[in-house]
Amino acid sequence: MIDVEPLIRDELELLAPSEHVKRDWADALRRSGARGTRTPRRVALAAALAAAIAAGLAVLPGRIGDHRVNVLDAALAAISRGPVLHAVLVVDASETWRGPSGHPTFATLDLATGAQRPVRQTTEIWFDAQRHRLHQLSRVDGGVVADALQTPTLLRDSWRLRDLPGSRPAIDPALQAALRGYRAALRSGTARVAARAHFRGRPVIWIRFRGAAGTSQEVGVAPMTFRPLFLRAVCPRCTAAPPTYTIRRLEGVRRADANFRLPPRAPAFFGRYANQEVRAIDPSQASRLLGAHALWAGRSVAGLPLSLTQFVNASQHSRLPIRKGNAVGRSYGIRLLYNVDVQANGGWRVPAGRRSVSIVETTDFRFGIGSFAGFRLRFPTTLARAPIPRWPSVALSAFDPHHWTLQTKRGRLYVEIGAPTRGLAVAVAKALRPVP
Amino acid sequence: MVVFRDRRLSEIEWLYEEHLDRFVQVARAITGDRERALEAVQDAFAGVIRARRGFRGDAPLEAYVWRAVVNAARKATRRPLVEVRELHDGPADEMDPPAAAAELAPRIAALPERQRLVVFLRYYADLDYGTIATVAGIEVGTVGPTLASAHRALRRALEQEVNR
Repeated sequence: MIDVEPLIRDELELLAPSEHVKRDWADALRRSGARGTRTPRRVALAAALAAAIAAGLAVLPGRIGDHRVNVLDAALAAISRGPVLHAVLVVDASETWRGPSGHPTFATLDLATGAQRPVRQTTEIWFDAQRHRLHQLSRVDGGVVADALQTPTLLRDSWRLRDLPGSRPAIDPALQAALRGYRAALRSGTARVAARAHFRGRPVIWIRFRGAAGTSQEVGVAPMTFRPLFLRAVCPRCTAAPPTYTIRRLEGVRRADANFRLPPRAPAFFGRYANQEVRAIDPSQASRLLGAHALWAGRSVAGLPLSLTQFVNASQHSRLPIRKGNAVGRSYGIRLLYNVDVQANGGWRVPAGRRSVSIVETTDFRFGIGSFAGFRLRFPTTLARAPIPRWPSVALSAFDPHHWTLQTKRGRLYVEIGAPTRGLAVAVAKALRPVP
Repeated sequence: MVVFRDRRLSEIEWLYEEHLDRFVQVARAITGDRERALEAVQDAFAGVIRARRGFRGDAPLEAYVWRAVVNAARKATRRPLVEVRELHDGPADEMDPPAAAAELAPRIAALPERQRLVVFLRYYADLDYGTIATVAGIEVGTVGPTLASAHRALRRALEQEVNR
């Protein structure tokens, strides 16, 4: 069944666009025949109120997004005349990854309420075709995960330690067409109508563009207004469908309004060489060694016995060979392993087909204890590159349906649980309590 | 501290400053014309200011002002309620007519007047059912079914287009 509410909201904006109307209270008073009742102070108050409203509108992108971007500006995007293409695209983060079994599963779950939501990736693009500049900024659940500027002389990517030589950037022809308009693209023969369909609750015309490398992209536009709604690559042979982006904003803007600022450089972690020393401990020692209240799921959880508790002493070093003297940073972690086989040398293994659970805890995300620093960003991230949610919210990730990772921050501790099923991972999280 | 000599007038002024954009938007949807909408809203506020001492307070002041704006906009309407405009220049011959007709604007314009007004008040003004009932002059219990009827009509039209 079609959900008509969002469609109604969009169409109403076309009928009577929202706008900031100039206030003229004095005129209303004059028409009413009432004598002016304003004191100078009230005039100042009203002016301040109007200024505050205007300022609020200027700095609240969410509000602007709700009222302008989705409707009026987006509707007019095809005839925007600014020389810089500006696009804001949103996609379910799991669609941008490819696991061995297709797309992975990424979600944020609130353990208190049971509410679950997908992880969203937003990509913002500024592209100046005449001056050959491209800036791409990607966020996952609000955290900046990629920030790259490409010019003919320089490529600065926020996660690289060094700049690379520049080159002339290119961008999807499907997005570029926004500057000239999709009707123009159809008329000129650079695009063709691929399909008329019903997609995510609304009628859409898919317009197909051929890319330079023989690939194709499609833009889904609203049938009458040609307002761009969706963007996707075309890949009939792909085992997992390429992501479909929802177009939040697509317009031509003035150069003065574009963002071509040089991105910040990648954070330099402490040292180039990492080391971890691991030893078995008794669970009762965990809090003292960790320097924080360690958590566990008890002597057994879901019928799986606690087999091994390990203390991880992690350090970063400036040079080889690794010695105490050249350590530039140090942190500690705890690893609890349930239902594994412990070997004589202190190692462990999981026999094929056996269910096991791991719990990893640390107070500093940067030392490779758990997967919190896997993307070398300035903040701890989930496997979906989203910021680590705070307890009772947890991040759930599964690249493989038989291995789930749950991550959260509880108090000072970053906690990561590995389990063969989503249900078991959640059950372990709910069973977490301080080690006595 | 600011001392208001006329509390009711100050409340009306606050509504004007805070919500003028929404008043104009609804008036524009009703009149189909921006300038007429601006005139209607200014006239409506002038009327509310004149009659403020007679306001009994048996309904929220905001609903009272909304009713004045809707009435002024209706009065200012001398042509069809909604004018549907083509936003892009250039021929539309790339599209076949059924696909083009799938857009909602003409469907909204074709709704019965009461349904249309309730849709405008709900979606432009974000008013609650009680205020909508006061403004539209209907029972509170009628607002939900009226909106549902509008949704049903629009959904049916869309599904017909999609299945065509």
